[in-house]
Amino acid sequence: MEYIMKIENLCKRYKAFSLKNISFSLPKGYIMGFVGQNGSGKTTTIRSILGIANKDSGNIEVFGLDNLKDYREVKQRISVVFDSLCYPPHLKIKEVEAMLKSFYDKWDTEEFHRLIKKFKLHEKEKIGKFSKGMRMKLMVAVALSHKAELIILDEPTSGLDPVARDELLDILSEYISDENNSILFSTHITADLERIADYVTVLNDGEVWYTGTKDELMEKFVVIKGDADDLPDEIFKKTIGFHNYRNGFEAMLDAENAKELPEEIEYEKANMDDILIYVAKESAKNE
Amino acid sequence: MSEILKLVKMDLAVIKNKSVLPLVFFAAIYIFLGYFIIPYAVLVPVMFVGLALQPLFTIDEQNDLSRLYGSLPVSRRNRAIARFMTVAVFTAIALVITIMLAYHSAEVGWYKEYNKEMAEVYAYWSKEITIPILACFIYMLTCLMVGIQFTLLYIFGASKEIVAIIGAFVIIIGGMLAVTLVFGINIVDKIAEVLGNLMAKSEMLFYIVLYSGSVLFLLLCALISSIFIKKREI
Repeated sequence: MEYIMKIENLCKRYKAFSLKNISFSLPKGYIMGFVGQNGSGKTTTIRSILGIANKDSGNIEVFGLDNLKDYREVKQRISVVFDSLCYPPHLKIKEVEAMLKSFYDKWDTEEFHRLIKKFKLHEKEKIGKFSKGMRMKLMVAVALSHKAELIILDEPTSGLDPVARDELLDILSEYISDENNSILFSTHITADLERIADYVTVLNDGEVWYTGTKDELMEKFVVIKGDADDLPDEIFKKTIGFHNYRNGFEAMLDAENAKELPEEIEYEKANMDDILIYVAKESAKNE
Repeated sequence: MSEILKLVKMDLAVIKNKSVLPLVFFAAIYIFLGYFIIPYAVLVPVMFVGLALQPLFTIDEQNDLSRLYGSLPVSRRNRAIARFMTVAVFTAIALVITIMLAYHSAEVGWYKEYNKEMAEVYAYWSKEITIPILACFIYMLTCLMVGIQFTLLYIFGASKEIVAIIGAFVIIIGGMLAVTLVFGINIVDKIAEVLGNLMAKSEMLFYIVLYSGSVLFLLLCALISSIFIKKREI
């Protein structure tokens, strides 16, 4: 399998937070969801990929090239969409295009204007006056206008209404229909990932908790509920995010261990939200 | 080089709407003074260029443009070099315009009618300090001030803008005082002596040394700034 991006043992330390041995790979032609609660390290990882944050150690390869040594070629072939506008707000669309197009060898002016028209963005208005959805669409239009093979999105749907979110996801689905294109999509809105992601990497407290296919992850865990007295000790030790309430307990468990559960304990498949919640609870317990 | 030129163009595109009006306003005042008081005054707006470009740092930090720069195929070092080259270019353009206007104001001579004392002062000084000589000196001073100021902005950030402005003054004036106290040399007299000797040798050499020295100083500031860009992760 060809990988468009490989991250190996990425470490980055700040005063109050650190990334510890982040490793995952994005296969070419697929969408990887990059998920984790706020502060888990998603944006730091993305900033390290772009070279904005100086990694302490580890390797990052994009298109088989070192992300720092070969930054020119790498960045010609990637696009980034951030969670908020990253252009000076007093500019208009034409000025944004004029500012950016000279940096990209494959900038397609016709495509840019086609997308601006398709997204119904006002060319005569300053981009600072755009709504959140319009700003996102502008960044996506820029991202799609220089034939990038990899788009990295850092929480692009946060703050968007359901219609705008749906539109963005449709755009990304259209982009990925070209097998040469790949997407790394960081979000804490798990419904988006469940809809379009092929692969998922879950970050928790600066570490990779899971990386693999989404389908595998969705089948991997169950949420169990019942009376804590009915739960055997051996199973209890294997639970994730165990929490005892007045009326019983809830926890997450590897689906393989669910076969060993007594009949009194109920269980159902864990969705992405459940996984994040119980992972976070387990993390809080261990602190 | 082409990457640097693209970044200069980008800086100018970002700043043009923000800085043109205040720059034109202050320039108009000094041009007026030049025509009606003393032609030298026309050259002063060159020094405002640094102030006109300072909003670049504020715009960068307020909008977290490090994300934009981080996604473009450009190096941090070239970003710093381009920012300082923007100063050199912008200042040079302002210099050419103000030199032409200063000559024009001296030629039309309205200041002779409205301010006879200053007209005599100008008549006396212009024999030694011609418009091109003063313009060159102002260019050098502008590059020195802006170079130090922008380097301090890269070190401390746009939120500490006042620190950068005061710091630039402190470094220049403090440096001069330190040299005077430690070595017993009056730095101003020494500089005037060196420049005078240079001028006596060759006027062309004087301009080459001062203009190229100013640009090289900006380049040095750019290289120092690029170290701090990397350290501060901007």
